[in-house]
This record gives sequence, structure tokens and C-alpha cells, in this order.
Amino acid sequence: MSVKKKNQIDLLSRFLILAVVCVGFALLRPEAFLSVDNITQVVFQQTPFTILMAFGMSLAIISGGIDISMSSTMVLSSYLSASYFQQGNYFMGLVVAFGVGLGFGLFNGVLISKVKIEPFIATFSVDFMALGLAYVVCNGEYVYGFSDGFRSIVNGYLIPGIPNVALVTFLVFAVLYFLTRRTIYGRTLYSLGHNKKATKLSGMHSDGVILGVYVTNGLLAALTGILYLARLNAADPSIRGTLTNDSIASALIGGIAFCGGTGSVVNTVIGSMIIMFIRNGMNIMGVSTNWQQAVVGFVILFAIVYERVLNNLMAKYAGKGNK
Amino acid sequence: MKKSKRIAALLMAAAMTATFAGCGNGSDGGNAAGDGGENAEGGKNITVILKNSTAPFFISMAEGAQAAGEELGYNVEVKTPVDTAEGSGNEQQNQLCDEAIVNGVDCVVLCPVDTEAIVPAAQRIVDADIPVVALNTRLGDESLCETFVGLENVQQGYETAKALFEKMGGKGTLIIIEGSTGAQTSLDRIEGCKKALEEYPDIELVASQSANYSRAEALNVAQNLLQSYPDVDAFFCCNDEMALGTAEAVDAAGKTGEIMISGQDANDDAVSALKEGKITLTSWGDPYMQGYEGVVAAVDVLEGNEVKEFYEVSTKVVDETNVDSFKDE
Repeated sequence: MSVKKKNQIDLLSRFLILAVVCVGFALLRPEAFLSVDNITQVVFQQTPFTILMAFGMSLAIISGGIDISMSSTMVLSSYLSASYFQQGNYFMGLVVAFGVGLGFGLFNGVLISKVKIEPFIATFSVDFMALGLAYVVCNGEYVYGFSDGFRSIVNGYLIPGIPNVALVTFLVFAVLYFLTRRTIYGRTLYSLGHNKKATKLSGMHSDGVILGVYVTNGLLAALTGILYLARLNAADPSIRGTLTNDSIASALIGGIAFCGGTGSVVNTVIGSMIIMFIRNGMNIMGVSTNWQQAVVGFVILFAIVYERVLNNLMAKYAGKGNK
Repeated sequence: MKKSKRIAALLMAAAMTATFAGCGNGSDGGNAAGDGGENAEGGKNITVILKNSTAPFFISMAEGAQAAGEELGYNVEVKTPVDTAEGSGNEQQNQLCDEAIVNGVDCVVLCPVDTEAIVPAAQRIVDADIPVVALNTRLGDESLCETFVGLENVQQGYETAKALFEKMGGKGTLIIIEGSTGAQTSLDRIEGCKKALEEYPDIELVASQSANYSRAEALNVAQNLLQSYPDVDAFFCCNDEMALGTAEAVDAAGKTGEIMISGQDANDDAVSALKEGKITLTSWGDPYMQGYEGVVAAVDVLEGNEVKEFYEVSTKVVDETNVDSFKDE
């Protein structure tokens, strides 16, 4: 069986998990869960934030690394840019936010590709730095209250029915999909995840590609931070919350193997949706929030075991086909 | 070549650090402690251990403690865990307690993240013959501390809930947004709310879920709950952060003004939101006075003055009628 076909089957099977989760909740609480209002709220308002962060995590994982620092970079960049956005100085706000994202992305990228620090360790320490700096800058003063004009980047509708935040997420998705699946950059990225040494020896620009991954992540973190300002109407360090864990979970549940080299941003989207629908459904059912944590953990394990079983089945099928 | 790249990387790291350090200049460090030296005579060092140095509530408490130290001529040092996650806060508070013992301070004012987890550390302080004053949150074993300073969170929850229920006209449906699971303040405030519920039989509690004291989490949780209970009349939130998140969820549903929201703590953002009509009421625990009284109690203990059993800091319900004046009254 071709790798492509195998990947397609795997992706379809992730849709199946999502479908099972949704059907399950729909059967349990049809009147609240199945409303158009609820579904659009989860897909268009709540999930985009997790998806954007999980995109970054997925890129890092596909390249054979990991990025722990995104959520803290997001907090810091949203903090530093918040007052500009509040005063209506969007240009400076964007410059500062993306500047911070770019700076930390470059920093991570250089640490990993040039100084040769393990991605986990590099981004782990940068995570502390960024969050610490955010606390220093914030000093307990939250920035609260943004203009309706600014908030419309999340709540407004350029296309009727689809909030802008979902539109932005879709655009990012399209760019990343093209970048990873249709360019030499993308090929190198996957190749790195499969076999770092071979990729380097074959003369591909592996350092540049790795740098690119972490810079992209920094920019994604900055973007998510700006969107959060608009959604929450405040700059608040609590937005970091469980985003790092959620984005790793999204990648894993979506079927991006931790060893790197497989999966795509489509997997990430499905993984994020599975998590957010679980949270939504359990809230609706009135299950204690603490259970969500346990259930997400269970689903991660399930997704991995499921992958194994699926692989074995496909191997068996392929074996029979050859006979 | 390789070496020069490494140097470049290091330079960049240094440059970045410098840049951000520059950005922080405007703030003068909420947990900056008294540097010692000036007042550091024998018997005059008080260490105040708080829950964190990031929430406005505790920053204000730290300021109160330091102000009292200056007025009374004591050297007050405020210490807090760096990591604010509920579990790691416990561990770090334990370490801070040990540090205080090693430094040989004269009194420890302790505001525990968790009532029970702090007990072993408090025991060690007492074993080292250093008196302990409990601040804001009680210790699991009250025999370990000389006195308690703070407000009763149960009472605060009760009074806030009662004010909310009065505004609801004594009837309707209610959702509780809980704080972090296991956090004593959250448990106490919920207990207070439930106590008030008993007095209002026509108010029905339809759901109660945690949003971990976080604004962002409360936004999602409240949005989800609104799907289940679109006609709910009020949210009782265990702090202001969650009330603000809930307010955005209610706003997104186009129901601002229709659904009442109560917070607790009366922080600056909540006061602004109250003025905008986004939240209905909150309550003020006067963290500054809590910190101040904490040090006053410690001084009473150290100077052998009469030590009260409970240094109470009063709670005040804040709504649209007193939002401009509640801090002056």
C-alpha cells in the first residue's frame, strides 16, 4: 500500500474519532449540543485559538522537535502590544507583537539549529524567560477594555456567517498547507523528521528549515496573542492556561507521530476540534471540569493505540494483497 | 566560522534580554522586598509569604504589608512562589518557609496556597521557635499559628451571593463558576454561596463548574454552559477574573444586562466592567488592609502586646451605587 494511501486512511480514521465524539454528545444532550449556535461557537470561536497554537506545535513535531515556548511568547507579545492596540495605534501594536514573536522565534531557531541545543530544552528555557518577562512587564496591571473596532478582528464578519477569527485561521491553514505539502521547504521539513542525519548529508538546507519552523511558531504565537486580546477584551497572563498541553494533545490526537516526519496540518485541525468538542460537550453535560483533563489524557492514549492497531491492520492487508 | 556563529547567537540572546529588561522599567516590581539593612535590628525581621506576585490582589497585599513594616519600623520581606500553578505553588511555599528558618527571621506571616499542604512547613517554622501568623487563608492545623488575619471567605461568599440574590428578586436560576479545584478560597466562597441559597428557596442552582480562576477558561466554560442553560438568570463567580471572562461570554451571546454576574475581589478591571454594566456586583476584601494587618499582628506577637484571636478585615459588596467610593468609605 502506498504511503499516500496509508496517510489518507489514517486521516479518515481521525475524522471518525471526531464523528464518534460528536455523535456521542449529540445522543446524550441533543437539544443543547446539536444546535447550530453551539457547533458554530465551538468551531468558529473557541477552536481557532487552539488550532493556531497547535499548528506551530505540529510543525515543530513534524521536523523532529517540539516547541514548549509558544504560549509564553504569546502572553509576552500580547502584553507588550496591548496598550498600543488599546490606544488605536494598530501599526505599532502589530510591529511590537510580531517583533516579539519573531525575536523569540529566531532565538529558539538559532539555539536549536546553530547552538545545537535539544529543541525541548531550548524552548523549555525560553518558555520560562518569556513568561517571566511577561510577569515583570505586567506587574499585576492587566490591560482591559478595547475598542469595538479592534475587537471586530475576532467578532466581526467579513464573510457573513464566518467570524473573522475563523477566516484568519483558515488563511493560516491554507498558507501552512501549501508550504508543507507543495514546496521544497516542506519536503525538507518532513525529511528532517524522518532522518535528520541523512537530510543534512544530502545537502538540504536543514538549518534554515529548522530556523523557519521556530520563526513561524513565534509569529503564530504573536498572532494568537492579538486575537486573544480581542476575544477576551483584556491582556491577561491566564490565557496561557493549558495551551501548551492542548497543542501537544491536538497534534497527538490528530495523528501526528511524535517521532516526526508524518502527519499534516489537517491532522492538527481535527485533533484540536476533538479536544474542544470534548470540553464543550462535557460542560454542556455538567460534568466537572476536572474530568475533562482526565478524558483528554485518555483520548491521547486511545489515539496512539488506535494508530498502532490501524497500522497493523493495514500491514496485514498489504501483506495479503501481495500474495 | 562555527565559533563566530555561536558568538553571534549569544550576542543576540543578550540583546534580547536587554531589550525586554528595558520594557519592564516602567514597573517597580510588586514583590520587591525591603532590602534589609536599614531596619534590620535584632527581633525586627518579618517575612511575609504570599500566594503569588502576579495577581493584582496579592500585589496590593504585599504593598499593605510593606507599608505597615515601614510605619512600625520593621523590616518586612515579601516572598512568593514564582510558579503560580496551584500545585507547584505549594512546593515553593514550603521552600520559602525553610528559607525563612535558615535566615533566622523573627516572625513569618503565611498566606498558604493550600490549607493542608503548608502544615508540615508551618510545623518546621514553629519547631524553630519562630511564631507564625496566618494571613488570608487559614492553616489546616490552627494550633500552629498565633492568630489569623483576614476575612472569612465563607462570609464573603455568603454576603456576595445574598446581594446577588436580592438583585435577582429572590428567584431564578443560578450557575456557579468555581475557582481552582481544591483551592481553599474557592471551597469557602462556594460554601458561603450555598449557605445563602438555603435562604432563597426560589433560586435554583442548575450547574457548578470550575474555570480555574482564569478569565480565558471562564469565557469558554460560560459559553458552553450558556448552550445548556440559555435562560439562566445569574452567574456567581468565585473571583473577578472569571466574572470578567463570563461577562465576555454573556456579551458574545448578546445578553449583557439580561444575565447578572457577580465576581469577588473588586479588582480594577472588574470595577471598570461594573461601570460599563457588564458585571452586576463584586465584593472587596481589601487586600491592602489584609497585608497591613498581617504585619500589625506579627508586630503584636513580637512585642508581646495583646494578640487578638482574629484580626478581621471587613468585606464590602460593591455594586453600581458605591463603585466610585467603596475604597474611601
